[in-house]
Amino acid sequence: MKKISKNSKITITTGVLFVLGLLILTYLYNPAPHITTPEKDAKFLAEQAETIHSELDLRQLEKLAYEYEIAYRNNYGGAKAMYFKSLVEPILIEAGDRRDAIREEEDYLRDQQNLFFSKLEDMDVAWRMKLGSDEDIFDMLNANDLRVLELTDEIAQLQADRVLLAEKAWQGDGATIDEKSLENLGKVDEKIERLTRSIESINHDSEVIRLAYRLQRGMDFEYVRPMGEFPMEDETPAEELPVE
Amino acid sequence: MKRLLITGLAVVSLVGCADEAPKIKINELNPTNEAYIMSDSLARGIVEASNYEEFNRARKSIEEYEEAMRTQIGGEAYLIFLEECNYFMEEI
Repeated sequence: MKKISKNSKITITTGVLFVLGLLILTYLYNPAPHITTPEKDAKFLAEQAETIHSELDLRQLEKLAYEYEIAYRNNYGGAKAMYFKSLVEPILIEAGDRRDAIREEEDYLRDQQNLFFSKLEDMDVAWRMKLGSDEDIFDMLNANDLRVLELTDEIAQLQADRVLLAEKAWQGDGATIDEKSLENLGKVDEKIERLTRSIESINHDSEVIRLAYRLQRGMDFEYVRPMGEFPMEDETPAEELPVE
Repeated sequence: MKRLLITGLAVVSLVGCADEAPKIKINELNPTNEAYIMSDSLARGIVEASNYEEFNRARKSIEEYEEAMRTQIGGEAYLIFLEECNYFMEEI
């Protein structure tokens, strides 16, 4: 029998150790989850779902569930993967509901924070405002309201144009789309949005003037709006648009 | 010289730490109750201010308390504090 040299022994041992090391590393860093049983893995995912707080958490949970499903499919075939999926689906739906509820709470909190700081800021501006005579205040409020009326008329005209453009864009049967009209429709929508924001801003200015009067003079400013159709305070004309 | 340097550094770090301590300490045992009481008292200061200086002082107080409530407690009690303050301030 041929004797193996010492150098060859070292080379073989190093090679074997290297391959073993690679195998261990591959096992440890394998992105595929290590599956146990569908029930146990579903329970694990349900526990993870309990900790969901954000959109990212939910996406990660869905990804993990998908990886488990793939692992089941690869190791045991479609039937077991489907069974696992049926266990996990309600967990994911519940997690989505949980995330929605959390998002709603966060939105509400943010609204309250915005209201808190904007109210303080409005009052700060109102306290520092130089009011002038009652006639001056009347002129300011009247000018604002007249501008709101102008903008409201402009929006009404744009909305009428929008209806015609929409009809032209989806010619008759709705199957063909006129690109040019569609582009113009987008421009009209943008303009309506811009004008709506202007109205909101002017109304807010008027509100701060009235607040300034209340704070500095201790009473409400008696004022009658000019005749005309004013949009409701919390109503944005853009929302009235017919959606195609 | 070295001792003096070490003592100086110690004093500086102590002062630094003292500065970081919160000015307002919220009662962690009953934050909800405190949120109701403080929102009432602080928002009243805002609403009842009779000139800009008074308003400014009241604003500083309510904003400092808001920050303390947000950073130390948060959650339900913080939301109650905001809701109550907004309710009072809307009354103007």
